[in-house]
Amino acid sequence: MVRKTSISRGTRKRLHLKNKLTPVLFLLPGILFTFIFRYYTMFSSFWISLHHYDVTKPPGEFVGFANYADMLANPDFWKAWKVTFLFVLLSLLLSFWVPIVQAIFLNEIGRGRGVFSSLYLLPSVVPAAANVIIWKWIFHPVYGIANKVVGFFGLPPQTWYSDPRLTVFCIVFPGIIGGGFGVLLYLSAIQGISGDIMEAAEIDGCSGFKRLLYITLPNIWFLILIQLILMIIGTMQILDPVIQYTMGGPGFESASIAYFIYDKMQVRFDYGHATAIAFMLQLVIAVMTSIQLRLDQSERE
Amino acid sequence: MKKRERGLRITAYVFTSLAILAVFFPFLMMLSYSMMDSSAVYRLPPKIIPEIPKSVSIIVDYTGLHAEEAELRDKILEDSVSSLFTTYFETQKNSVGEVKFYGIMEGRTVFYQRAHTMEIKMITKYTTYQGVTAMNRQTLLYNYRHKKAADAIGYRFDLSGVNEVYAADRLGQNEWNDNIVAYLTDESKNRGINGSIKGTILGRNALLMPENFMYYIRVPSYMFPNDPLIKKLSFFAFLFNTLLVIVWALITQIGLCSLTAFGISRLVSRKTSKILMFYFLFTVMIPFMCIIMPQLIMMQKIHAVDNYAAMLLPYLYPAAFYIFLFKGFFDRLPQSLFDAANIDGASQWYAFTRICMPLSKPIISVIAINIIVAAWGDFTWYLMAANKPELWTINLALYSISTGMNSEHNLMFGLSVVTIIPVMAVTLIFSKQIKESLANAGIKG
Repeated sequence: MVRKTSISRGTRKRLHLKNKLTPVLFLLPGILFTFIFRYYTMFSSFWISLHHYDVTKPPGEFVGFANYADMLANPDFWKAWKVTFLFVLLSLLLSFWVPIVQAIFLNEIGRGRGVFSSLYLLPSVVPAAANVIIWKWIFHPVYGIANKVVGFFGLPPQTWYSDPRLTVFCIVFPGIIGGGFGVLLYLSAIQGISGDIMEAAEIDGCSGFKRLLYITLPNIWFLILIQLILMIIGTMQILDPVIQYTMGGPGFESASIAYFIYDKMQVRFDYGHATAIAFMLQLVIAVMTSIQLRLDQSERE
Repeated sequence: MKKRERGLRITAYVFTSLAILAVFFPFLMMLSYSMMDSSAVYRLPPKIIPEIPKSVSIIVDYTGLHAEEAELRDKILEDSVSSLFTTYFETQKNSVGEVKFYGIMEGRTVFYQRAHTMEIKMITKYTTYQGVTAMNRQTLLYNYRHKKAADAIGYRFDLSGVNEVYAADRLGQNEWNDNIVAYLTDESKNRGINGSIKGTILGRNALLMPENFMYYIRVPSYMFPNDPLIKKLSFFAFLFNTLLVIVWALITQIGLCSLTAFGISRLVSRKTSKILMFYFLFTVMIPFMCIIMPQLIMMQKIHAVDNYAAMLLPYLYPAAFYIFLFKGFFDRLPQSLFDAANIDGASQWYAFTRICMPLSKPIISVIAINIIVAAWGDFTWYLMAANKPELWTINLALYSISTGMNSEHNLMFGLSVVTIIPVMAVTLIFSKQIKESLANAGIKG
């Protein structure tokens, strides 16, 4: 890694004086648009959350932190958190580990690895809505094959997306097929493990599945950890699949916290409460993200 | 030791093959369903393998019908259109793929019309015969609309004979013959034929399955006849919108993020650089749900709602993560390259465009892939701010058509498949480059 030397800093300083305008021109567009689309909107969101929002004469009556208090006392709010954590937990159990396993085995393949890895890419480019169409059909209570499969094991037919106990499971389940860019990311990490380590392992008699467990896996744990945190941050904000699969239903059984906000906003036009919840979500996300950035930093150093 | 390694290798092959199969399973199901007709999709118990579609030919004799050419054509058209639509209507549940109509005079074919059942279905569902529930001479011929339907389907008429001939030896040799003749001539249902029916031919044709896709591509133009863009481009209107968004996102994101990162990395002091990085990276922590409402209000104020501006403007925000990646890369470029440029008296703009960017191809390709995938999947913002058929991206079009239009499932599967196949093809063509970029991302990014 080449760091800036003292000579170059001196050169830069001279340039700096010569043309103070240049950095401003380079940086202004980015700073400005970031301010408009993130900081202004965030503060405006916070401002709205302090009001009983009135669409006819915004922002309406100032109520302080009453919206926050309302939400903390609202059982639906806590239920949405519960659903959100259920999403995180099920993603962890059903889908998170799949690309890791796929990548580990893909790395053990000699001939044809290129073809297999290309095929693994494809699920990433299937539009989400197309996936939703087919999985909704697979889980269709009457015409779907999911009931045929459970019938094969002697279980009674289910209503899947309409079943309060199964709806979150059914939204997460399609992720179990894995594939996508994640596999390639893990694969490149595995291939980045130095040959010396592998050779040493072989000399020590560590081969076959043992090598996967004791050498390969521990050597990519860092990437797994970062991906895990990214997955959790992403799943905490899960919204699109909920809209596409179930619209939060049945009842509010699959309403994640982001969907809860969406519902307050788009269905009930209750902007004050919606933004109050969004801010509480932001707090949680901020903590998670700072952990992730810290980890990223430490890997780079 | 060797043995253990071999066991692992075999397991790896088996596992990966199965995993690939699983990965493709939903797509294969979609492909299979898209080749069924709608009744087969709703069959119980569910079947996955499509049946080879049937082809029904109806042969009607007009020998002895003395009339002028134009009048004769009108009479045959009446018969033909009512035969096609009635046969489709009555045999809907039996995987019929096409209906053909032959008009015969003194032993030669003078009239030929043929329609894929998908086309007949489109016409009954979305255009000329929209809302018609009973197929009979009154409903079909009302207001001469059968001529419109016939023109849409196309036909051939020539008194000296047309090229299409039917297999005379198989005429009437099928179990459906009597039923179809009865359907077409059922006077209690107000049906009838001007000529005399010679009989029917029943066959099977596997090529009718892929032909479905020609109509799937045209489904949107049938669905939105009042929208000039979609009527003209059909499905490709959505593709155009998607590509527009992706190209715009690539230009703005790569342009703004690299510009900003160059400024942070090379033009300011270390302290300012730290402050600026914090300013940008903090935005990563802001959940989209937190800013979506004010963003919508802001866009409404400048009338950027339900138009392309609503879709494109939010991409002006330079994603902090890409700035972070660019800055990391620029920091590592050797200073000597830039010193040379400075001695030449070249401006920073020159250093940025001519030295820095050409060297940044690896990181640009990583970021480009990220941008494409993100823009391709964008959903909620469009749903809230640009939800009009002519603005739909592919993702939104599939979602909206599948939820709002009460469309049948084979249409939905067909539309999905025609979307997915080209995208998959492009991905496979560029798979080498994509994989290289991802490998770079894993190691450097």
